[in-house]
Amino acid sequence: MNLSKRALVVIIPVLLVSYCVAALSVYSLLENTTKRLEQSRLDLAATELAASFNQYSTFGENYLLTLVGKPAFRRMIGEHENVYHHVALGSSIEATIRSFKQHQSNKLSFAVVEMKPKEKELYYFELSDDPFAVMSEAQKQTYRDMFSAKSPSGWSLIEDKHGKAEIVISGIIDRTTYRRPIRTLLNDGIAVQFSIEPSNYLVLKQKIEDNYQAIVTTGGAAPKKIAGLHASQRLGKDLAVHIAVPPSYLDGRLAATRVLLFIISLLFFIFSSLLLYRLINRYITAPIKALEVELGSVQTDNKSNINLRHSGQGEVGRLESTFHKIYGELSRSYLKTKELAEHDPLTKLHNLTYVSELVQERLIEARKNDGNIALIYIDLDNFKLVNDKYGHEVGDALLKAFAARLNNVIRQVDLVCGINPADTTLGRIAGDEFAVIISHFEDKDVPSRIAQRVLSIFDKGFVFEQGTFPVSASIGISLYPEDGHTLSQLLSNADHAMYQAKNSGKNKISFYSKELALKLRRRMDIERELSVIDFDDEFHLVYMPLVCSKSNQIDGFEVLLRWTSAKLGFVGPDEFIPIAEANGMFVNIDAWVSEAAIKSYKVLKQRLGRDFRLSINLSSAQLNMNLVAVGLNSLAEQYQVPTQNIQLEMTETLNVEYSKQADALLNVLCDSGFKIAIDDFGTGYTALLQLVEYPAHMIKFDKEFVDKAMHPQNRSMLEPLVSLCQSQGLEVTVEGVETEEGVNYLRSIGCDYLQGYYFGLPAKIDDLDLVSPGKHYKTAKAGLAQPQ
Amino acid sequence: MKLVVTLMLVCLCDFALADTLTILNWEDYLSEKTISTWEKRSGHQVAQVYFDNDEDRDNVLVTHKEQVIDIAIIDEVASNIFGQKGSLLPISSYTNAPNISSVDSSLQQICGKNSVPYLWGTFGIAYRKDKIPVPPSSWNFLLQPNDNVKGHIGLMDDFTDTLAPALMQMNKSINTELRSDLKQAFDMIKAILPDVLTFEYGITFVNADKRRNELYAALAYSGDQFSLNEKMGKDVWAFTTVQEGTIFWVDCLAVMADSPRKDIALDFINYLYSSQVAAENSEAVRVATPIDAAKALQSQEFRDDEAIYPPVHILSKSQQYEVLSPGNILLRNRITSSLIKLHES
Repeated sequence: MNLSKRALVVIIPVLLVSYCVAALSVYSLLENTTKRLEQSRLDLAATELAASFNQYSTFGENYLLTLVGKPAFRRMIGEHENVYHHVALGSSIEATIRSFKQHQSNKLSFAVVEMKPKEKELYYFELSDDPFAVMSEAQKQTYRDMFSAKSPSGWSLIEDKHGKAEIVISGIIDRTTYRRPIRTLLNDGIAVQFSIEPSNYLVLKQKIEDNYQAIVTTGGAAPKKIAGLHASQRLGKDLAVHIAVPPSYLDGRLAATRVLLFIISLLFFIFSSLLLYRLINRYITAPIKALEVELGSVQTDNKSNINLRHSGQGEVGRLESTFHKIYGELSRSYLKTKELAEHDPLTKLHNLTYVSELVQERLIEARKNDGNIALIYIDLDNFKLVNDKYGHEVGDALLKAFAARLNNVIRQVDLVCGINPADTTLGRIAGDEFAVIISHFEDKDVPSRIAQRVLSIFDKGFVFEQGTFPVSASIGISLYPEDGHTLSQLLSNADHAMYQAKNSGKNKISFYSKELALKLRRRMDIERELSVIDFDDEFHLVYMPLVCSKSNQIDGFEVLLRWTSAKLGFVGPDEFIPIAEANGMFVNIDAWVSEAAIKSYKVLKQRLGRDFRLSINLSSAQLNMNLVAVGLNSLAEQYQVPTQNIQLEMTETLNVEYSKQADALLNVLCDSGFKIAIDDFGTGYTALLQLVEYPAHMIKFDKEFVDKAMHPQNRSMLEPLVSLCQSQGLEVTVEGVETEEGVNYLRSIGCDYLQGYYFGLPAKIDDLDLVSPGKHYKTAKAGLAQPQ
Repeated sequence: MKLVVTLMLVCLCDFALADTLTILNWEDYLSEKTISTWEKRSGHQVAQVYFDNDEDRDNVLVTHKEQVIDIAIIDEVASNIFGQKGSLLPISSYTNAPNISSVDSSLQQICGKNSVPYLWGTFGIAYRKDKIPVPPSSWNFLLQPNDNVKGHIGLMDDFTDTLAPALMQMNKSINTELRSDLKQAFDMIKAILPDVLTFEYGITFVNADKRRNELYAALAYSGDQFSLNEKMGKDVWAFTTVQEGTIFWVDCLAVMADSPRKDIALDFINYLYSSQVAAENSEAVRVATPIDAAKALQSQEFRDDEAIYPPVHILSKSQQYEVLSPGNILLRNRITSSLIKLHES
């Protein structure tokens, strides 16, 4: 709930309750006052009513007296038969009444009645709207009552159910004296009655009844008290008028008040609510809201921080400045973290995360706009060597220096090639791996030009303040859309291209290509197969005879590994052995080869008919010569092959330089009785020291070397070379002998053993022709076409 | 009040040497010339006490101080009643007034034995010729008035004459005892009360009331039109009887039994009833004379005036006043009182 609403939620109940309480108090006060007021009014009305009544009754009493004293009356009584007296009295009464304007009455009557000898109306005069009316029974009853009660005078109120009433003033007089008779002669007297309708009183009564919805009654005692207002007034000795107002009247009056009060309260409530609401909004909520908006705008409008408006005054101001501080710190912290997250701390180039995201973005853009992206993957060659030899400090310094130089180079190229600096991004992907991402380049040459410039950094090795180092770069380049559509595709393809560059000699640029892909795929397949296959299923050994040049007899066999992969078909050893060696699988392969070869000695011996030298190739990049020795020893023992019949060929291409360690390990093997042969002599880096120091028994001249050496202009080198080796106690075997001429020559210069297709292709045991070497040359030649 | 004062003056006049003959009479009902001529002749004075209402007159007769009224002009009914009471001098005792025998005998019968017919006439409507171009022909002219007459009607305060138009219109007797008839008549008049201007006698009203010009039509006795015109100063009033009938009234002249000046009275009467004097007096007050011989002496124009001497067919449709019972009188009194009271409220 926002502040404004909250303010309302607070204001409304409070005000509501307050006004309710106030209204109720006022109402209760008003109620009391109204009650009292109405009572007063009612009392007044009753008084008025009684007064009006009394006017009539008083008048009536007086006038009766007057009438009785009138000569006209006496004449009427005296000469009763004379109708003129009747008429005259009537006229007289009429005239008199007319002059009494105040006592407006709708009906007046004057009656004279005698009771003795019998009840007889002597005179009846009525002044009313109905000339035909006669004296009412009720009126007659009054004089009868008077007579029977023996009261000589009195008055009473006669009311009928139509709301009409008369005040009847009666008296008994003696017909002779016209005065009150003595009590005992009352019945002999005549009754005189003057009745007057108290018209004003009746009108007033009706008004009261209408105004107050009251019931007005006359009577002796006040009626039972019921709810509502009451007023009573005496009308005479025995009579009183009672006004009873039902509670509904007061309720009605109060209802009007209630409604009014309610409306006023409501209006006030609404008004003050609104006012309060607006004021709170204006002075309390608004600043907070403004702050909220300001805070929001930092996000949406990308402002660096909020504007300070309140100069730290009050809660809002302090809130503002606190936020400002916090946000500022957070911002800085965030930016720092971002920087850390996106950059490599050492080189200050972007890191892999950033580069990946960038490439994603660029890809999306390029997809939309059909643009180009080039991913240049730079791997520093020999960096590990530097790190190992000179320490991490130097290594780090080197990286830093390279990064800086890379940056410069890229900037230069951007300028030259007219590329927007924003379109090239540098990153350090891993330890010694860097990437350059280029987008929006028109010229397809641009990536290779950049790569060239990068390579040029390493023209003479890498030179920086710490020195010169033999570090170069292998660069792989992959392009969008040609080489991939996703980040992972481009990355992996660039990586493969880079690897290709590395594999083909380092310090070069390689573009990713499909052949590369195939190559790499093949490599991967081989790797995979090698790691999963059961060697027994797919490996087999082939043997190549070693022929003694003097005796022309087979003195030994070189064991060669052949692999027929179920998935890949025949995979040449040139292909899979380097891969196996690179992946460290050679240990297993060597072990298998060793076992299988040693195991087959017996069979071969049986076929040959005599002992021979079994020559097994071993990778000299073995780390643990001891294990190899132990293994070989146990195998020889297991298959009962004398160790001196087993020769281990060490390919010297893997030896970069003479090491004491290698020397020691070879000695171990020698001590066990194994023969050692140095393989591929002539094409590698065999140091003369190795020649001297290694405990080898044989040296095998490489085919390629021999081919080149056999050229007439080079031939002369061979003989001294053979002599040299033999001088060191090494038996010289020449590989790659294919011609008879070659055989003859090599024989002539003193080679000890000959090996080559001339003597037969490498074949399985069963396929070996062991009888006459050389005879198979033709066959062999013919068989050259097919791989075995 | 007027009467009381007049009576008191008359009493004072008692102390004059020459006798004053006090005549209780309607206004303008005795020719000034006749009076003055007799006064010269007799050496006595004549004083008139006026009334404008039978009731009032009767009241006076009943209540007056003795020996104050000598001659009274009364109606035939009062003549009978008061005659019976012995208030009046019987005509058989009219010594030295032989001229009274010249009166038409049928009219004499009406007055009875205690008075002589004085003048006679009819009862109808007096109307303003200038306001009402067509003479009223029916009592309905008053009982169901047109808009131009509403508010300009004058009725009377008389227990017979007030109800007479209604009763005649209903073809009833003006003297009816029947409460039902009276009630009907009462209701009829009650209905038109809002249209009634006054209950005062026309001549008195025109004489005294500011609203005299508002009165266009009023109940009147024949001859009243002349007084009306005189009072108004212009000849605008006319009189007519109506088709439902009229009342044939006779005013009688009576001598009060207790009058101390009987001889002077009789002398005056005899003078008055001589043909010539009677003719002049009658013509002067514009009311018909009961003396044929006198009539013969009157002007042709006067004798031909049908308003004064109505033709036979009108007379045949006329009613006469009768003595009413006391109860009837009282009731009628109440009726008229009620009407007046209602009118005033």
